[in-house]
Amino acid sequence: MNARDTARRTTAAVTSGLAVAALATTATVALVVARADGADATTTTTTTSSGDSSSTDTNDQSQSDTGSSGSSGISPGSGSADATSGGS
Amino acid sequence: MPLLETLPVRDTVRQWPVWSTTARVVVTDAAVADEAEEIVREQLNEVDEACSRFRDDSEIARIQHLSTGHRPVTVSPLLAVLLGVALDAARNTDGDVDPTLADDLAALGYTEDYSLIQARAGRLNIPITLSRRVRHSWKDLDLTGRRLRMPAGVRLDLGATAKAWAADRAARSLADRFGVGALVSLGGDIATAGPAPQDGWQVLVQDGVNEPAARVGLDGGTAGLATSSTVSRNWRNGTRAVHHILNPASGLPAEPVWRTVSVAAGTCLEANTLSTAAIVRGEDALHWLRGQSHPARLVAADGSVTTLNGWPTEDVVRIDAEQVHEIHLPHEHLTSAA
Repeated sequence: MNARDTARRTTAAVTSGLAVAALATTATVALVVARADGADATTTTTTTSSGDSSSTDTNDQSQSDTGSSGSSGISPGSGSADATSGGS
Repeated sequence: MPLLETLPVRDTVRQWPVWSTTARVVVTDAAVADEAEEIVREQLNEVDEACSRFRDDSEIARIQHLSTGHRPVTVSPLLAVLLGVALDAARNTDGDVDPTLADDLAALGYTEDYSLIQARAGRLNIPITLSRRVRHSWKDLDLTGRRLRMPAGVRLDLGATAKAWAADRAARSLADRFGVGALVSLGGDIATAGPAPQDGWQVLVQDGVNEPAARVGLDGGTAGLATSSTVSRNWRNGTRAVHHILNPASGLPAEPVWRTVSVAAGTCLEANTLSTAAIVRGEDALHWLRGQSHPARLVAADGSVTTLNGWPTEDVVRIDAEQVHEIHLPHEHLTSAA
């Protein structure tokens, strides 16, 4: 086995190890079917051991990465909007 | 096209066009709405007179004419504040939000009020070239109190920070003057002050009818929310689509990794600074914003949405027809310009 083969096998081993580690850190995978404002939306939420979570909405392609620093002062909207924030 | 607000105008709301976009003032007591509008209009006029780059008679235009780099120029207290917040934004973003890009914007065709740029969409054709000239940056400016030293030839664009600061100032003024809760939105840069409504201030976050929408409530310490966009305030230069958020490293529009970035923070100014810098940072924005700890929402070029730092998980939001606003260049303009 020459040096190139050794390097290739080492790379494969590391890649495989990382994949296993990623799977191991996945604590929960929840499939949530949410109904919002009369529309059906399917959201897949993945939570890892680091506390991050991501969700993929099959209708909206949305992802949520809450990180670890959550912040107060912002909440899900309710009722009619007072103003719109768009690009200005 | 910038935000054109079309939410209902109730008796607690006043709304009017300004700076090619919409000013919207919401107060918790309808009895003070008229006076609130008057105060905000006056404040916005002051800011415009101080730092508009589209007026020959603005103070900043006169200062630029006088600046030689050798002797400092004394500016008004208001312009000193506006320059100060612009330089703070640059410093806090490692130069991503740089106030010295006016010449670069002009080189892309943004030489006058955006409404005029849009009116001649498809007829603008200015060659876009990379020059080897020495680029000025915010570090070339020295502001001490009201004394500004600036090299000759520097042209300033305080647009982003000035608008956000003006929203903060206006909201605080209304809350202090009338003892009410106040929300001031300048083209979607939103500042709040005073006691919020029971469920918090409700904000629709959306950059046009076809863009992903979210609805959030603001209360407590989160008083500002801003959205920066690569799909608003864009125009055609020849066959190329360009937008107004420039990468200071190149002087060209930032790569459109994100369609929009929205950030909620303690002030509108802080939120706007972070959202603008995130657009400039492109793919590095996620990691950087996560470290800033403020709730953020990023819409990628493919329309996928990522939220950070406690931004509420998104439901699908269906927008009532009356709440729809149009913010894109009309499709027929894009087609005819191509």
